[in-house]
Amino acid sequence: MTFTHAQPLETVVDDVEVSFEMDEEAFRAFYDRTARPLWNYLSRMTGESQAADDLLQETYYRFLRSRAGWTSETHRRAYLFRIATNLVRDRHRRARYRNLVALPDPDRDARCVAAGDHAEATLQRTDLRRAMSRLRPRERALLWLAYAQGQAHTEIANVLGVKTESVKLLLFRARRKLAGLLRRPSGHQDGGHAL
Amino acid sequence: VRRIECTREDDVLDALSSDRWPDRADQELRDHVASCEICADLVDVAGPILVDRDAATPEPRIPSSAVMWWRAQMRARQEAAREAERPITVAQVIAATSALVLIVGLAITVAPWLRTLLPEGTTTDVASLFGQAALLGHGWLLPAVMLCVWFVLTPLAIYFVVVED
Repeated sequence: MTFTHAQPLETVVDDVEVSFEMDEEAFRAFYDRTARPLWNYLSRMTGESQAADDLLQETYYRFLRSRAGWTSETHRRAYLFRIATNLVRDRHRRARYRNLVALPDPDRDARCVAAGDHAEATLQRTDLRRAMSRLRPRERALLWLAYAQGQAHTEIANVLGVKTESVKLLLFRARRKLAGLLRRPSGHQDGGHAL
Repeated sequence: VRRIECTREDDVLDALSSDRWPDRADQELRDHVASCEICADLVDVAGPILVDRDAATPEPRIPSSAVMWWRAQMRARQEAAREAERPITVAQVIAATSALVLIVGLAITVAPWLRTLLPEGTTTDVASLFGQAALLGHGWLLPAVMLCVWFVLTPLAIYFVVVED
């Protein structure tokens, strides 16, 4: 690509050749299969819809820019979730550095109720989110990947960057902790931790 | 040694995810859960997570794959263009710092001549402030100081410009 410096950046952008490891058709099919579970994962990990929106975009961009040489759909998917997990971790570190506390997302609850859900189910989800917010990010990720996504221990290990043998124990501990939090009366769960 | 897993976990998970728990699950499985701490935890944790996952499914905010592809393309192009522009930016910064150092050096060199044009005593303080007399006293000192300043100034300027990018 050649251009003179006198041209503003915007005018030369269209001339720039970019190539991703995946072609558009393959990406779009992969995106359609993974975007919703990934958004749900990001939303649960961050506790914020807006953050999930931003991180979703960043995750796919980094995924497309990578030259990972995926060998299978499982590998590709694990890689995608690993990028997302790292982004959430970075965000968590920055938030902790700035001493930020995640705020509840009231519009999300409103949308859920508006969707015609039962009040009891909404209450149960609110309790779950409160309890989840008291877990460490890795514990949240473990539980969500294992039970909501139904991922195998090897996949979870790939996503979280831990040994496969460790997943069993980590999952057991996270499950114990969350079960304990869920069994407590709701009032005791207030005051969620920083994400 | 404390148990961390149970052989019936898959059965419990299967019953939960297929919406058979608790009413349509086997009595034997229900009895097992009642007596197994691990499976009881599993029910308490995986049940609400599955409910939450299914409730979250109709979220409307996810952009379409076409939009996501287009945004990624645009961003990659902008980054590539910026990357291609970088050598030009660096050259400009080097030219600017060189010009700055040369102008200052030139100003110091011509200052004695300029001073003769001004009323007497006006520039003496300024000249001593910059150590002009000392710099001009040795033929090599001024170019050496200019070179040192340039070597310090240029990388700093490049760093700030590139970081800004």
